[in-house]
Amino acid sequence: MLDAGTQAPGFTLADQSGAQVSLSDFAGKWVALWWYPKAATPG
Amino acid sequence: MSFDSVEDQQAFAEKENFPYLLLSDPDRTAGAAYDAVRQEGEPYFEYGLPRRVSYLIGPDGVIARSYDLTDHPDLTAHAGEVLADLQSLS
Repeated sequence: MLDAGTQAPGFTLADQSGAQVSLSDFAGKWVALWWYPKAATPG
Repeated sequence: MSFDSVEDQQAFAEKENFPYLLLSDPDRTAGAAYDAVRQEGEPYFEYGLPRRVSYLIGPDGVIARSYDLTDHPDLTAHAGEVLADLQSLS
């Protein structure tokens, strides 16, 4: 786990529409990252 | 975020009408950076699925809270916890 106070690692990934999304797109905003095991499963 | 393909994320988002972004990390680079990749010896390692971890990142790009749900996957309670933390921090 990355601890609080750590600079969040940057990334650029495709969203569900195929659009590229970077963490830096959200500079100045709060971001919640939620890792889940697999699509189409509970949670 | 998961290691699923864009197509699987799209199907999941459409089925559930999710209003948020589902990001696809099939090569697990972001997963590795965020310590979401299960290591050998961990449960479900053999399935290659991400660990249940969550992060709140502040407007300054610094991690404000991190959450390890590996052993306590009460997701409803977790969603409430994240929202309460966000309200108290922001």
